[in-house]
Amino acid sequence: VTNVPISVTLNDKTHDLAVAPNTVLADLLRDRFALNGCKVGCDEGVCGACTVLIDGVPAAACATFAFAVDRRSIMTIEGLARGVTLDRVQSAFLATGAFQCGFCTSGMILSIVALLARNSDPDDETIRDWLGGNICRCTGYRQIVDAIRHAVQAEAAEPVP
Amino acid sequence: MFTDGAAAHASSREANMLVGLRSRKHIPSFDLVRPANVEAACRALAISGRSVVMAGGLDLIDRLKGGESVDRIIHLAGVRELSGVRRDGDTILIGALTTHAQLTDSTVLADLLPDFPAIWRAIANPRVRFAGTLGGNLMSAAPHYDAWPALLALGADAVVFDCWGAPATVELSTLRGRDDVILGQVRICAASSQRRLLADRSLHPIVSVYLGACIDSGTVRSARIVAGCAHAQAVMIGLPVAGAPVASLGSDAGDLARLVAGALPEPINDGLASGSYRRRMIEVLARRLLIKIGSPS
Repeated sequence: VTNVPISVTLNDKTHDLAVAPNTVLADLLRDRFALNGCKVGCDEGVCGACTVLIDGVPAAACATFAFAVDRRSIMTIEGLARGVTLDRVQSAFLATGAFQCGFCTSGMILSIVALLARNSDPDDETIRDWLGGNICRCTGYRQIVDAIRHAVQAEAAEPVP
Repeated sequence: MFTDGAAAHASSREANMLVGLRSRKHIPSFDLVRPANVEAACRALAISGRSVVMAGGLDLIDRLKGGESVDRIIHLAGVRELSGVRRDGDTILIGALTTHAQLTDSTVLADLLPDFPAIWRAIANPRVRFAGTLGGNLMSAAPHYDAWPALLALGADAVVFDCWGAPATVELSTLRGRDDVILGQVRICAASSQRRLLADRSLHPIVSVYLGACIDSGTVRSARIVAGCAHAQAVMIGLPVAGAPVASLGSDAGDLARLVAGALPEPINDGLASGSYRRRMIEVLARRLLIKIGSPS
């Protein structure tokens, strides 16, 4: 078994590296790049805590092989803010208290960023559909939905990527 | 008090306990093949040892975390000819690598079979719909997945490639458990008559029911009910309604649903539901779908 060369753009920076075929993306991000905002909860691709954006699309990093992101662009929660300026979804989470323990928050935020990039004013059904892939055991989701509404209304400090 | 060695052993044991019996840390090593076309993928399939084909990978990774071992993974992401939905005459061709999200956005399906994308918008969640593929859903053959009952209800068949690269058209029912072929496309007839597909399911994976019908100027040409989740594989029951007005499906819904439930083999008993409960739920959901398709709206 030989390592596989991949080229990946990670939070806007390109890396050429070799990975073992059986390495999953979550371990690549956490172990090699110390991007620990990618949380591993269920390790089954269900809970959404490990959600990252691959070419702008939400994906479960625990259920994605590292080799599968060759020549693709990954955004983790660490790459979302622009310098000291938070993304509007991050600001909305702060403003509405949309997290408690915080374990689901990075995946939740990235899913919502992807949602708002596709639908600037989602209806309740669409929000429920998208949040169906991210489990929060603390908030009961109400504050998270409030955060989405807040982000929709807020002026974005920076354009959403 | 632990000695250093004992402490290290305890620490290692605790770490292993955290990893548990099923984990990404348990995925065995394997060789990777990344073919650029179907021919190269088929050649890889012919190499000795156990090869598995990977589309979106969601189910495969899950199985590997459980300890399943393979010699080689054939990653099909580069085989672009297996993606997309197109029309070829009276047939809708859906590539095996077409994602669920692409199915919901397909203009071909929206034009020719609008029920299908409407149903597919409600399966799983966006993250799964972006990564999961129709082919992966079919070939993983999980009883609670939707592709089998939906495509059986539509009377679909499939094009597969063997290890020599030779294509063959096969019935869907022959695909289950096949790891010696690569699924190329699913084919759905889109002849002039109207194709309908309706579905309902329980909240938990206890039963799913799909109703497929071919309707021509208000007359039913054929109709079938497919029950998912309730058996090791989806079970299809044809309805004796050819030539009947479509409205009669609604007026006869109770009798037809009873006929379907009575014709089913014994559903499975498990921790979620008994076989008799499943049979009853299939009858209830089938009746609702028949009433719905038979109503003027």
